[in-house]
Parts: sequence; structure tokens; C-alpha cells
Amino acid sequence: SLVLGPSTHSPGARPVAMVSRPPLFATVVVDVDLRTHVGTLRLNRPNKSNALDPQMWVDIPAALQWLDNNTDVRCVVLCGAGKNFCAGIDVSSPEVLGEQLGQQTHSVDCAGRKAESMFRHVRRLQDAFTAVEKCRAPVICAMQGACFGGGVDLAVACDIRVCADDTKFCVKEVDLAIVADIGTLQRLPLLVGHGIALEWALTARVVDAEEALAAGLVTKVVPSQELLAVATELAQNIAQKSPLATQGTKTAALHSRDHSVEDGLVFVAHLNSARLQSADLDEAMAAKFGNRKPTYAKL
Amino acid sequence: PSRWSRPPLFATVVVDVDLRTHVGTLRLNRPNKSNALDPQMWVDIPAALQWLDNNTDVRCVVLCGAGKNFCAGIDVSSPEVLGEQLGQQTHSVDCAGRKAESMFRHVRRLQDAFTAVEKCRAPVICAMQGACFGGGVDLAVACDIRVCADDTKFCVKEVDLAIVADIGTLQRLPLLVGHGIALEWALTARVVDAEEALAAGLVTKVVPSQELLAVATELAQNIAQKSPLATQGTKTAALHSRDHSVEDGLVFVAHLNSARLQSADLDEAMAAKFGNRKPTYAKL
Repeated sequence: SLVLGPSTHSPGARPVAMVSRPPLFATVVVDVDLRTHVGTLRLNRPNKSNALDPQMWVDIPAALQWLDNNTDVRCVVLCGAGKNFCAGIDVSSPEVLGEQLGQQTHSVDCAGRKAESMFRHVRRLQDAFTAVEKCRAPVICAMQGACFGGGVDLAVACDIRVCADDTKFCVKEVDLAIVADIGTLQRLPLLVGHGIALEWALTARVVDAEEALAAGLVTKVVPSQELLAVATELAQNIAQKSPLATQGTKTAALHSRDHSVEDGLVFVAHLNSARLQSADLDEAMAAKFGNRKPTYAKL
Repeated sequence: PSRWSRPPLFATVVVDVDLRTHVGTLRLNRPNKSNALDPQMWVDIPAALQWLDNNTDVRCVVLCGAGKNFCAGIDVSSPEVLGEQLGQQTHSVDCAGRKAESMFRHVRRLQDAFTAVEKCRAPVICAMQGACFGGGVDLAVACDIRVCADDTKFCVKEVDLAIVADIGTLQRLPLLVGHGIALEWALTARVVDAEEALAAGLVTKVVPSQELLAVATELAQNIAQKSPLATQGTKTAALHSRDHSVEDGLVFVAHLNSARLQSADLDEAMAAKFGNRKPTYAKL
């Protein structure tokens, strides 16, 4: 997506292509490093431990969509400002909680209508985090401090998770008398196994970084002060590879997660029937035999 | 009259059958090329598996690689070989659609070569050492059990060749090590050692190099001593369940067992247990 520079505001002038600046969001900050092709999405309510308020449910998918459309971005780091990654849904007041749970008034006192509007509300929140999967660039989640409830929903929607050694995970929802409905019960079992996920979800107990690593929820645990550097380095590593290959890998793996092996094989064969014609293969070979680093064109 | 059929001679693999233990062996046999997958191997591997599948003397298969390395991946020794491996062929017109169609068929053929491991009803144990890279991982994850030497290095190498791994790794690896770990390995193309592979669930045993074949063979013999209807039905049912809901899997195995529970093997198992002897099962 392009923005027009000030010099092109006069009528009849031809638009000049410029590097697009990320939009300003109320609750998150988006940044793009043009040199490394790494995009960053930072949750930005640190004084509230990045608790998810109504505006964040709007900003997070909007930011991901912007990053997805930005062909300068080949890998995304999703992180949270401050001491805590995300403490879950903002329950600071009964009014906010009610809005967060999709409670709204209807003209009649009707359980059916309440259920319909709550269903649509939950789907909207789910879509906000499924936007991580719809973003074709791989998304690395970097966590520290508290990753509770909705924070886990967000983390498990990402492609890779790394965390600081002080991170505490908690599938908190049952303690609020809620069934976790924004993706944890759908995605966490595929990361840590059904049995472990169920134990965490039914007990709502706190899981530390070491246990999360052993279970497969995260692939790396580092000292707090190294978290962003390690996550960024991982993102840069991935962003240096062919974007068609890394993004096709994300697409194919996500498809396979939800399909039989046979259907997955057919899917990736169709995907690669086009991608194997890509110039990136020639560049990879040329770089290898030329003993240099490959440079891939933008998508 | 039945005769023991000798394994055919293959150009790039060696097949062997131990009639006493009912264990078949499929050995990748291009050790001076680290068993890199060349066009002939894509033909020999499924042909060998099909022969083993049809041989009722075979109850369990060990799949291994000659030499220091199990399989270094697709043979990229020359641009010509690589082009053939990627399914590039010339058409009468310069047409992206035709290229895509022939590449699709080519990828499917390569996928089928490794899916032949699953179609072989005998359980297949993969024994790996040294390099298990790219296509080597595709082959390993299609097997039923994996054991490896402590010097083994695994690598989902494809993104570094600007390729989406398309011969089965992205479909099968997540089911072994979890979606998150599989994606990290696949997106970074980093080298994973035997210890990490064990912790992640990619392999179930790591042994010193010199013990690898003995351990894999012992495991295969152990399985081959059991009722072939039971072990092969277990492979079939587990593979089905991998790709179906629990309810559909339950119905599938109930139908499978509606026939197999009538087998003479059940009587033999009980008789052997009470007779304090080892059971002996008839051929399929």
C-alpha cells in the first residue's frame, strides 16, 4: 500500500511511490525495519499489563492486516511493552467486562437473541487473533512476565513462541467461570498435546517458562534482557530466506494442521506447482555456488 | 507350491529378508553420495516397499542407509539433476499453466514414493545415522518408528533452497513433535541433534553409532514375533486415526476387528501364555 507524498496533492499530478509508514494505532505500535524485512507489532498498554480492552480487539487485527499487505515485511515479531506480555481480558470494571463478554441489551428479554449476539461477539474476538494466521508472514511471539488468559489465546495463534525466563503462563478462564473461547482450546493441544493442555485448562494453574519449554509451548527461554534481541534475530534469520518459501511453509503447515495427511500432500503439491517455478530457487542455488548470501525480491 | 521369492536387485537400494526372524530390510545404497535421493531412488524405494509388502514372510521392516549418513536429501550435484528432480520439463509452448500441471504431477509422484511406507502393511522402523536432511526427513517421518545414532543431525532444509517442503514433512512432522516445534524447525532450517530430536518425540531411541543396526533389528524382531494380523492392524488403525475424528476411528477399528477377532492368532496367544511357551503365528 502506498501513501502519496505532499508534493503530489495538486490535482493532475502523477502519484509518487513512497515507502508506506505504519498507521498510528491507539493501543499497539507497528514498526517495519526495511533493512531486515522484519515487522514488529507491540502491544502498548504497559501500565495495564497490556490487558485486552475493546480497542485492542480492533487494533490488533488492523495492524496484522497492514503488516500482511506490506511487501517489505517478511517476518513479524509480536511482543508487549512493559513487564508483562498480556494479562488477559481487561476486567478493570464491571462495565468493561460486560462489554468484553458481548453483553448487550435487546428490545425483549430473549435468551435466543442474547445467544445470537454473544455468538457474533465471540467470533469477532476470535477473528482478531486468527488474523495472526491470515498474515502470510510468519509471526514470532515474544513473551515476558504474565501471559494469562487472552494472552495465551494470542500466543498460541502465532507460528513460533519464545519467552523470558520470568514468564508465567495461565489458561485462566475457568477461574472466571468461562470456557476459553478465543482459540486456546483449539490451538494449545496441538502444541503441547491434548493431555497437558487439558490439565492446564482445567486447573487454571500457573505454568512457568521451564515447564512451557518442556511441553513445547515455547521453543526457547532466555533471560529477560535478551528477549527482544533473540526474537528479532530469529525473525531476521527467517526474513533472509525466500519469502515465497517461508510463507508457503506457514501456509502449508497451517493447512496440514487441519487436514488429513493425504489432503495436505495434495494441497502442498498444488502450492508448489506454481512456486517451484520461482526465481528464488535460481537465486538460492546461485548464492550457494557463488559462496554469497542470497537476496530475494519482494513479493 | 509356494517358494521363497528372492528380493529383486535394485540399482540404488538393497532389500533383504531374514526368514527366521520375519524381518525385512530396505537399505538405501548410495553411500558415497550420502544416499542423496536421485531419480532412480524415487523409483526403487516404492518398488522395494511394494515387494516387501507383498512378501508374507515379512512382518516388520528396517529402513536404513548404507555408510556414514542416512540420507542427505535430494541430490543437487548438478543443475541438470536438480532441474529433473524439481520436475522441470520442456513444453511446446512457454506456458506457466503447463509447467504447473507437470510440476504438480511430479511432486505427487515423489510424495507417493514415500507414502509407500504407509501403504506397506508391515510396520517400518527407520534407523538413522549422520545426516538426515531435507528429503531424508520426509522419508523418516513417513515411517512408523524412528531410532537414531547419537551423531545424527536432522534438518528440514528446504526453505534454504527457496522451496516449501512438499514430500510429507509439513504433513507428518507436526504430528510427531507438535505444531510449534515443527514450524520452528521448518522456518529456520536449523540443524537439530539427536538429543533434541529425542526430547521432541521425533525419535524414540538414541544409541551409539555402532549399536544402531543391532538395536533397530532387535526392535523389528520383537514386533515380528507378535501376531502379524495384530501388529499390521495396529499400524492400519493408528494411521487411520491420525487423519480422522475419534468417533470415526472407533468405528473403523471396530469394523477391522469384527473380522480379525475371529483369527486363530488369539487362540495361539492364549495357548502360548498358559503353556508357558513363545507363540508361533502363521503367515498372512
